[in-house]
Amino acid sequence: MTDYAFYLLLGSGAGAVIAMLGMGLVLTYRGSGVVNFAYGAIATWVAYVFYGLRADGDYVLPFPGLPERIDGGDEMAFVPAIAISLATAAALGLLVYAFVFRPLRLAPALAKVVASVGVLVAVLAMVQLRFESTILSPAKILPSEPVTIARDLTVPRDGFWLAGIAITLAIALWAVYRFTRFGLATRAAAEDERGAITLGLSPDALAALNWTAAAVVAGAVGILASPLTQLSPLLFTALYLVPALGAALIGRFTSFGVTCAAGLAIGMVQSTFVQLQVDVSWWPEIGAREGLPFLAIVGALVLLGSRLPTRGSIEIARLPRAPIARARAAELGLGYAATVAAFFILPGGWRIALLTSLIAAVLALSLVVLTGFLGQISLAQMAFAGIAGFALARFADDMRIPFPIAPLLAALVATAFGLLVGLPALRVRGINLAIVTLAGGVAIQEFVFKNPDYTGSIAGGGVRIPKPELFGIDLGLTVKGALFRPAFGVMVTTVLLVLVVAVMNLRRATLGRRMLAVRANERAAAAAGIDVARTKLVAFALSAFVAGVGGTLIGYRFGTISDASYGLFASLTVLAFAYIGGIASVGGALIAGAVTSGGIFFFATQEIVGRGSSANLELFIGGVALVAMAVLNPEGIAGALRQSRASRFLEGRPR
Amino acid sequence: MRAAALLECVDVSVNYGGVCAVDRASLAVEPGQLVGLIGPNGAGKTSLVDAISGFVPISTGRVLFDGVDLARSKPHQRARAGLVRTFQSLELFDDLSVRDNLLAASERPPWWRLAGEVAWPRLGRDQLAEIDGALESVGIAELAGRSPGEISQGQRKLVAVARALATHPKLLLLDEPASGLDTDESAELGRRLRTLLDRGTSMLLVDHDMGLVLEVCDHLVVLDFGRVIATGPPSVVRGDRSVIEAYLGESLADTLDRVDGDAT
Ligand SMILES: Nc1ncnc2c1ncn2[C@@H]1O[C@H](COP(=O)(O)OP(=O)(O)OP(=O)(O)O)[C@@H](O)[C@H]1O
Ligand SMILES: [Mg+2]
Repeated sequence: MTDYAFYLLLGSGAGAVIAMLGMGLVLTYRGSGVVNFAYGAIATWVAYVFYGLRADGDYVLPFPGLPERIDGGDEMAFVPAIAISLATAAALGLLVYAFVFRPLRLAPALAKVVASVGVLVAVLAMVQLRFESTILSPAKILPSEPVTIARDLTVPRDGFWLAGIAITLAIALWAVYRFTRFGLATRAAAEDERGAITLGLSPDALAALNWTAAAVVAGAVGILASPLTQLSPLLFTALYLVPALGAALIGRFTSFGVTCAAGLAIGMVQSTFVQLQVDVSWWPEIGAREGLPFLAIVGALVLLGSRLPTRGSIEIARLPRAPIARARAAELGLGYAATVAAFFILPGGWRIALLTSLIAAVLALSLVVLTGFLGQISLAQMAFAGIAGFALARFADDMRIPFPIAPLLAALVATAFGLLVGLPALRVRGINLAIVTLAGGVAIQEFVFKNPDYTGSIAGGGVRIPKPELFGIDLGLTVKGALFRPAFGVMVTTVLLVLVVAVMNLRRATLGRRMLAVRANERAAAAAGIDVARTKLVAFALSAFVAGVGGTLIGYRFGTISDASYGLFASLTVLAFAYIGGIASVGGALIAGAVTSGGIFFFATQEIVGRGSSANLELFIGGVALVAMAVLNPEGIAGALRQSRASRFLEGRPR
Repeated sequence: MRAAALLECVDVSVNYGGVCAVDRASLAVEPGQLVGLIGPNGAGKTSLVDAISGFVPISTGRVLFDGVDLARSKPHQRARAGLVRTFQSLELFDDLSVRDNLLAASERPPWWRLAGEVAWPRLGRDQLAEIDGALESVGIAELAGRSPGEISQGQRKLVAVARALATHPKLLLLDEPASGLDTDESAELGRRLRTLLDRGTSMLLVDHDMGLVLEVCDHLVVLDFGRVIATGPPSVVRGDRSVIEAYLGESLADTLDRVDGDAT
């Protein structure tokens, strides 16, 4: 038993981190009605800034174009470093609110989710741009010498310190919200924004204050918690944000106390899994840690259901339009021929960029079905892709199933997972569904992708995907001596063409009409005899199938895949670029492919300007562009093109 | 035994938290009948329609449709069984054209056709003819290709009625279809509803337009504070004391005067 007590106590540190991030999420939500998916990224940035100050006295600036860092001489002392870091956190919170979420106050939930993903992508890309070595081991801050609790129970004490800080924070937040004018005003504004305005309170100023406070909490967590483990860019997002969202959901995004307790409990229970693995033979070696928050989230949502608080504000903006694409066979044929020709004519670098674009277009198409047509969001597309990738390795390498059959079967496996993650969508929607898919994606990542049984040993670099071969023709990208073979490009282009036609047809088919009906109004759809639940599941299945096809293409392209091939970050960037291109149309998905990081647009720019841009800079631009799109033009580039064509048409000018 | 009613509500109650919106209300719609459900604002008419169509749970009573207890069926299942409703607020599918709005509601292809359409989407001639028929029956055939965003409020109401018709309902529940229509349009809608009735669609009509209701309905049910306070043919109900009292706040006297004025 002392073993379990040991691990429970050991987990108090991680639990405290989850609890504090959870409370920060609650603070943001109560102050502005935003579930901030970029919250972990704020903690990350501040942790890196603090590390920079302490290690060599440099203050790192996050703006491309400006000087990268201000040289502060030698290592900075602890107190000024903390002060500067927390000020940075406050400024970051304020900036993000002022430039991103204030303009989106009245936007639909989808736009807010997308914008926070944009912030997340931009901040993480900036971390990778500014710090050459991103895996750091910060020095301990809190006292960590062991403390003996009972005769054979000795644990390091920093976890207790953190837990103490978390509990103090919970009490402080509760008291502030309970007794101060600021707290009362925020509560009033959350009930009814118009009511708060008539009371003479500015919901805006209140939201800004809450954002600043939440960002400072994130910063403090980043600084205090990064010494617990190694600091890496995705640490707070992958490891802590999901359980923090779970804790906040259990606290119904309202109660600081419940959120704090839930966070501590999740962290401590997760910690005992190490021992459970030893004691319980069937306990999974990997992934149970991430499975727990996923179950907590789904449980909280299914049990609490629609009783989660909604904000008394009015949503005015609407979702992007999903026009019927009327491409003629000739246009499609021309596009196909041009792309195929490009694979024969262009030099190697171009071919790779083109491949990246085509595969990204396939992944964006998967979101056109789910988000564009059905109006539901998924942050797990890359997880579906990965499932298909690893299934393909099984089918094609181990079982020697031939080419077109193996990837199709693999995509069907992804479909099954899509249905599984889509099941909660029957009960929850909007932001809550985004949380579920994020947690589901992370769970798949840890449960499946990190398991060497499925994904090969790390030492071996992952699992092998044999080259595709059809009727004796080798369709592989590289064959002894020949690199960048056009045959592979032709195969990928053909797959994309088939999917493009299928999704265009879907828009004009019964299923597509049903999806758009569900997207427009679930009640009215049900009243019209549409089975809303089944329509959602079908859309999730189709979307996961398309993402799965994308995953098999990624597998064939690289020949060897590991868990890094289908990361969480990639899931987020897929959504980012799909939205930039135009989430609700096939044309948008093609544009998304073109402008994706490492794709044809950036490559062409680089060739023409003559200066290389790094993948991280492109991702940063992508993140910022995503935010700008969400704020200024939810229809994406495709929508802007449509509008300009329509306005030219209306003005009577020929096109 | 009397002829089975198409729709029968027995002692139906609807509660929202502590609010009792419908209180043991009973009503019946016989096949081929047009029943009006009226009452002052907040009387519980929409709540009762919600209960019949499965959008809110009922706390007491039973709803029978075609002799079958609906307790276990979901809204879309009720719609497929022929019990179709419209909404008081506009609930069109914004991204679909008027024709596609109707198609989304009318199509019931088997699953293999659904899948086949992704490879080869096409609409049968008879399917389109059917849609045009539904639009024609409310007099808006010319709107088929338009998007809901481009047409007037009144036209959108009619599209909602047409969409419900496109599902071939046995019983149509219409929640204030005439709001947003002017008097002429409203009278025109009334005539069209009677035509539909002759073709075999029964109806439950909720509306505040007394002229319309008194004119077209075979039978009236009056709700006030969730309770049925009067039932009977329009000529009887309009003279009922409790009905006049319930409406006093809205000055029924005026309404009746206006109706009488219209009639002469
Ligand atoms: N979702 C809800 N939650 C709580 N109370 C509700 C809800 N919907 C309706 N009510 C209340 O139930 C009562 C009946 O409302 P209902 O909408 O059924 O009336 P109505 O007869 O349709 O009115 P109107 O003529 O204005 O459409 C009202 O007091 C209303 O405030
Ligand atoms: Mg009503």
